Amino acid sequence: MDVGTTFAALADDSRRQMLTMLGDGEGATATELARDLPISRQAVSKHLAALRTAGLVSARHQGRETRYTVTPEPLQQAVAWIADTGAAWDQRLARLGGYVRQERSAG
Amino acid sequence: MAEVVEREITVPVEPDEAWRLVTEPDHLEHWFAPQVELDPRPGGPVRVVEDDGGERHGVVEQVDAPRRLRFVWYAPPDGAPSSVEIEVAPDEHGSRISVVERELVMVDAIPPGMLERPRTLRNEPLALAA
Repeated sequence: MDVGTTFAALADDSRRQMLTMLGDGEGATATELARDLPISRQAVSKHLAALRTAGLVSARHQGRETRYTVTPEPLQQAVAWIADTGAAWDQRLARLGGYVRQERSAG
Repeated sequence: MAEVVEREITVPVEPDEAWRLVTEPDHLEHWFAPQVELDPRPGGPVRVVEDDGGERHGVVEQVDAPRRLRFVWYAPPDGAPSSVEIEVAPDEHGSRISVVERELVMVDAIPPGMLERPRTLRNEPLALAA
């Protein structure tokens, strides 16, 4: 799962709220999510489908209901991308600063 | 959750000089990466070899000299593409160079209608095939 897909799935307030709720303890069913969110059961189902496509949540059948829980791995990938990309720019800009100082003292 | 990486540095040179630092391969190879090919015009190729030997290939998307350069790149063969926007602005101490790198959104992996994102993003990774 690439990081872009993860970010796309996270680019929505309802989905982020759902992830927060699903991250608490035992996860939740679509019915429970719809009860606690100002959106319809149908909208909850659509968002859950998007989150599953992005690999952010996984589903487990439990009796007649499906229980959803957060899958940590894609989030870790997203965090890793930010950390790696940030470190690369920190390094580049530090070198740029040094290069400019060196050029000025030479020139 | 941040979706982008943003960094900036202030350098004690005039903006025109700062622009050359961020667009001319002869300068870029002193700080950006050991090997840099970059043709600062829309559609110009970008090829970078990093310190660790890893490569990045891309294409220049937007040039607004001497202020803004935007390119998209990815690590072949299947790295996730991202866009890099470098801006140069005058600053009381010289020039401020700011960088924003943004992971491009693979909207096709998300069901239609689920995203409130500019549709233009859909086409960006395709530009890399050129």
